[in-house]
Amino acid sequence: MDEDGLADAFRTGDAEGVRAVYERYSGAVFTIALRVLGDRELAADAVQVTFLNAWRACGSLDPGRPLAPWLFTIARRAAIDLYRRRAHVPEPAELQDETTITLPPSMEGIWEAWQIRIALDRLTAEEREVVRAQHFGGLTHVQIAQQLAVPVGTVKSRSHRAHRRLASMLGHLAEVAA
Amino acid sequence: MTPPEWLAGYLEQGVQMPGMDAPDGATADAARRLRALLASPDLWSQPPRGLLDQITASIGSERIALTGPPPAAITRPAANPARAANPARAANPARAANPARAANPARAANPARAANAANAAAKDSRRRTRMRRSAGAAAALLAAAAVVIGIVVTRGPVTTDVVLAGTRLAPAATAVAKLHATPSGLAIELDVSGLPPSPPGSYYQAWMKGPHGLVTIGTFHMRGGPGAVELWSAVTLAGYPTITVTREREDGNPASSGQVVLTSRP
Repeated sequence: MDEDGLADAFRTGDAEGVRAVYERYSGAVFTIALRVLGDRELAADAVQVTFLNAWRACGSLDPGRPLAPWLFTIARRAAIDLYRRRAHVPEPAELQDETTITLPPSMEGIWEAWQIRIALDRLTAEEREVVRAQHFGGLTHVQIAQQLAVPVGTVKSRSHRAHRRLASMLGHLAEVAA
Repeated sequence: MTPPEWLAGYLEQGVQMPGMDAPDGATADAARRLRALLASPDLWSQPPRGLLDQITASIGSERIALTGPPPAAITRPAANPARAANPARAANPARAANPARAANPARAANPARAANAANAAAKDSRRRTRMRRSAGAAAALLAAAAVVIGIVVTRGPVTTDVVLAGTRLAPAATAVAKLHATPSGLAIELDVSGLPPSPPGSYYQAWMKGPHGLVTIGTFHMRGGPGAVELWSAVTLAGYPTITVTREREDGNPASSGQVVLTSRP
C-alpha cells in the first residue's frame, strides 16, 4: 500500500488501517521511544499510547498531508510525556532539592533515528540482514557470508545495493549535493 | 533522484570513496552521525509481540465507549430496577430508541465522527438541563415504562477478548478476559484455568495497568476449582491496557505484592 493509501486507510479508523500503519511504522515509533526512555517496557507503553492517540486524532489528518511526520510528532510527544511522568516520581525528602531540574533527554538525533529506521524497514529482508550484521554486528563481508552460508560476492552485492538505497532515502539528512 | 554515491560509499565503508569530491564539514559530520546511528541497538529493536493485538483491543474498547454499547445482541429482562429507573438513562430516549446509531459500523469506526457525536450529545445534554425541570415528570414516566416493558440492556455483547499467560510463578495458568462495555464501566469475565487455589491467608487480585498506574478490579481465590470470575473496572482498556493477576497475602497492605501470576503483557 502506498503512503496515500495508508493514510486514507488509517483515516477511516478501521482495524485494518490501524494494522497497516502499525506494520509500517511501529518499528520507527519503538526506536524513538527507546531513545527517549531507554527502557523496553516503557517504550512499549509509548508505542501503545502513540497508536491510540493517532487513532483518536485520525480525523484531523488532512488529505494529502504526509502520515510519517504527523505520526512522528505524536510518538515523540507520547515518549516525552512518559519520560516526564517517570521523572516526577517523588524523591525521598532528604534528596529533594528545589534547585534540581530534571531535563528531558536531548532531542538531537531523534528525527534522524526515525528516518533511518523507516529507511531500514523499507529495505528487503535480505538487504536489511546484511546491513544489520555489518553495522550492529560489526562483521566483515567474509564473516557475514559464513554466517549466512552464501558466497562473499552475494553479500557484497546485497550490501552495495542496500547502502545505495539507504543513501538515496537518507541523502537529505546529510544535505548531500547530488 | 540519483543516489548520492559518496554517502552510499561512506555508509558502507566508513571512509570516503576514492575519486569523490570531499563534502563540506557539516555534511561529513551528518554522514558520520548517520553511520553511528546504524550501529545503535535502538535502530534494530522490535516492539514486543502481541502489542498490536493490545492496541486493536484497546481501540475496539474505546470505540464502544465512544459510541455506546451496541444494541441488544444480549438483552435481559430488567433485573435491576434501580438502574432501569435511573431518570438520566430514561431521559435519553433518542439513544435508547435509535439502535441504528450504535449499530452503524461506519459511525463506530470513525473516532472523529464519534467525537463529534459526543460533542453534539453534550450540547443536547446542556439543552436538556435547561428543560429538565419541565421534563422531569415525563422522564419518570419513561423510566417506569422501561421497567414495565423490560427492555433495558444491562450488558452489551462481548466487545474485547484479552488473553493472559501464566508467569514463572504459575506457568500452567492461562486466562481469557472478556470485556463488556456497560454504562457503569467495564464488566470483565475472567475465565481462568491452570491457576491453583490460593492457600488460606492469601488471595488473587486482578489489576489494570497503564501509564497512570495500577487500578484493582477485584479479588478471588479459585478454591472452587477452575472457572469464570466476574470483575469490574471503572477505567478503560485504552488507558490501562495491561491486565495482570497477582498473588496477595491477607496482611492489610492494599498495595500490589508484585507477585504476578498472570499477565496480558506479551
